[in-house]
Amino acid sequence: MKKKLFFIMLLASVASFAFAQTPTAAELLARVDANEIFNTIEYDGEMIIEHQNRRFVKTFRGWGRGNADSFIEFTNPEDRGIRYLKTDGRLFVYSPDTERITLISGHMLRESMMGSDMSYEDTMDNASLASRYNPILLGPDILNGRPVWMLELNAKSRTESYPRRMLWIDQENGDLLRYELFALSGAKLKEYNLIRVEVIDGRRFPVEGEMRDLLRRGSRTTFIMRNVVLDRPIADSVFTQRNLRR
Amino acid sequence: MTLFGIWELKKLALRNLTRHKVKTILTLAAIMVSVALYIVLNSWLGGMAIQSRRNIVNFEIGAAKLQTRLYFERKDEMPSYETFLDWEIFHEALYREGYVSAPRFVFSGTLFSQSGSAPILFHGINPAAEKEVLRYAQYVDFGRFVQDGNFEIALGTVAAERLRVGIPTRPLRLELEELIASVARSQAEADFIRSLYDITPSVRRGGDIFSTEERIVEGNERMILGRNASQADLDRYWNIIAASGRNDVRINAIIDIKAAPEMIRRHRWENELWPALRPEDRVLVAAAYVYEDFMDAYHLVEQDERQLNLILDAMIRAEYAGAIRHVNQLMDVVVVGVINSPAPLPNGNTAFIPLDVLQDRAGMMLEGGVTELIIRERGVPDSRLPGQSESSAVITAALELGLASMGRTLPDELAVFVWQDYMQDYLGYEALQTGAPQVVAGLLLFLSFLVISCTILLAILERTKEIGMMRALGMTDRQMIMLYMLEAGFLGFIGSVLGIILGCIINYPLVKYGIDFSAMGDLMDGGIGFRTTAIFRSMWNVPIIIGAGIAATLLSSFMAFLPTRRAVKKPITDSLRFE
Repeated sequence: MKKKLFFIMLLASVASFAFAQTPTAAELLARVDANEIFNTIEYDGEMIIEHQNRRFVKTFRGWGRGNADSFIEFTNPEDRGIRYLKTDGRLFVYSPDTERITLISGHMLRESMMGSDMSYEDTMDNASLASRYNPILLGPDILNGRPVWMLELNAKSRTESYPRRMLWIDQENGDLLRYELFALSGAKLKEYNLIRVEVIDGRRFPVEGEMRDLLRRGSRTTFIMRNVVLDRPIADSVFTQRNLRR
Repeated sequence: MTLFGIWELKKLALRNLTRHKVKTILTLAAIMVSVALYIVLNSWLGGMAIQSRRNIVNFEIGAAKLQTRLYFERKDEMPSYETFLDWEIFHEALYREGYVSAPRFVFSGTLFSQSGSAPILFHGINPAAEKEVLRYAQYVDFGRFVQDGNFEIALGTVAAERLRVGIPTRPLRLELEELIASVARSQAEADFIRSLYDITPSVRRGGDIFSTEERIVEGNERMILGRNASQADLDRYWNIIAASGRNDVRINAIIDIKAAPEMIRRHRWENELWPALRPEDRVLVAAAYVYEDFMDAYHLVEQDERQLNLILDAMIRAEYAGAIRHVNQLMDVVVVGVINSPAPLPNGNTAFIPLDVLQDRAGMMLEGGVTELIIRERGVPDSRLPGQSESSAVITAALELGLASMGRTLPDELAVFVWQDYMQDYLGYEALQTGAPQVVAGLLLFLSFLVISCTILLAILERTKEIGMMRALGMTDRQMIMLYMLEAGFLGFIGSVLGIILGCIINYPLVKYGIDFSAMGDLMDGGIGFRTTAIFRSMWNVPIIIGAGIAATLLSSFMAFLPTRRAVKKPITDSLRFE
């Protein structure tokens, strides 16, 4: 009887410890948002697109400031000189063939970016997830052998591009290991899986991930970031249309 | 000159025509061919233009549309966020005044089938109302038309072939066998499907490009769905395919929603929004937002729904991107029918889906909104093109009258636009296509008049002595000119009559049977410029036929005037001495 009582007490204490350790949904989401925050970033990028049994590798150099401003310039031979500028919530592209700057707006935002599994609109989200979604903690789970928290996000506004998201957050280090994006009807549209994280300046930073547009059969895009430099001042002139055209 | 005098000259002119029979016959032939060609070409192009216009009205647009003014201004972008509510009231008001109408929500998206994807123009429709205004629903080749309450679409035949849904009409043998392997649940079903097709060996040139030897590559034999397949067989075939899930497709679309931004950053306000606003809209927008120092941004303070709508319209006119939000949507639907109508638009990359399933979060979140109400006069025959009773002013007046009888008014933001307003590009094309060949035919006609002129000139040269003698005997210059003009006029008249007869003979089968261009339409993605895909029919354009004859006669006669006048100016003595 004593043994039984001891076992029950042990279970209860473990359970209460575990309960005390369970973060709230809002805390988890704040952690995900915090992971994304940096003042500036510079990196060499690689985008590997696999679609219809073909493989395309695109390389680029990227600069970013917060979530609002970014500038990338493609360096692979086929796309050399194509530049994208995101600033003030607008996305511009410069094509060296036409020597023109085009504002990507309206229905063009739906288009795939450079043939990848990401749309232009996917690159336009600026505001934090916490400001746009109500989180619900669905509980613990195991993903690829790692304990994770499953978080469901439902859009606060009816105008959110993806009305629902599912997040898998590593319980130990807070990495966003996986997320899924859903349409208004509830159908899954895209999924992202984190492949590799690097510690940069004492911060865990995702440097390789894979995005799949589930409507494009057998398609996936792997994003790789190399030589990442965080929080080094970048001149304002980088995020200008003049820089696009230079 | 008296009529009697002209009558006497007529005899002389006719006798002159018989003096050089070969020359006369050749000139007559030139006029005849020119007139016949002009008549046939004009009737043919006129027939295509009329048929195209009928198809636009009966299969695409109706006579007019009720839309928001802002939608019409930006119609080329298909602004699906520009919707209006309470279409049922406008529908009822129009019906009371003798018009039928049908609501539509038009949006673009991508359709995914098991074998691929294609960009599609979707029309959310009310099937019953749609059938009252447009006729394409009668042309469902396979399956059936859509019904209310179901997530189902009727797809244009071009899109169906491209996405490999529904019944393939001309598959290669290998494609057919692949289809059978994926849909047939038994050997009996496999045999049944094979029995519906006839083999037409396709040919492929073998060897190098100069080789004329033709060979059939195994598996590429073209299979043609038998024309004698009964409706029951086709229905059974369709059901086999549907049961296999081959007709299950997904619509990926973006729901565009107008929403006034809660916050606009100062930089964006100053550089993007403010300069683009119309001066009269600036006051409105400025009153709705307040600048907050600590955020360095403008915040929305306006709450009034009507004011917010006006602000949104102003922002959209200014092409401010922040006023439109985009929500991803994915809908699972079933293809229940394939449309193959005489007009290219419903047959192309077009799909029709019941409007009622698009209303909520499972659809396009319309909540009663539609982008247009298509309108036609009630009971009007399909062959009649919209006239005065279907003009914008008359329909608007009728709508206002109908609304007034229901105690309502027509909102300012709505207006009636007629079909021509949407078809400026097509009408320009039509004018070019019908005008250019007619110019060529007209030039040909002109050439034949030059031939007449030459004939008369030669006749005058040959008869210079004779002219001198007749003038010496007392014939006046006017009589001489009239004589030769009559001679040329007779040439023109006889040639015209023969040309009209020939033109009518050629035109008759073109009017009665037409020419089937459907195969060419398939090759050219459902259309060949004119808005018709199947049989092109000519028409009887009586004023043109008679007018061509009269014009040819008068012009022929006129062409003799200048050479004859030149001849009669020569002194009589010179004419008599002419060798």
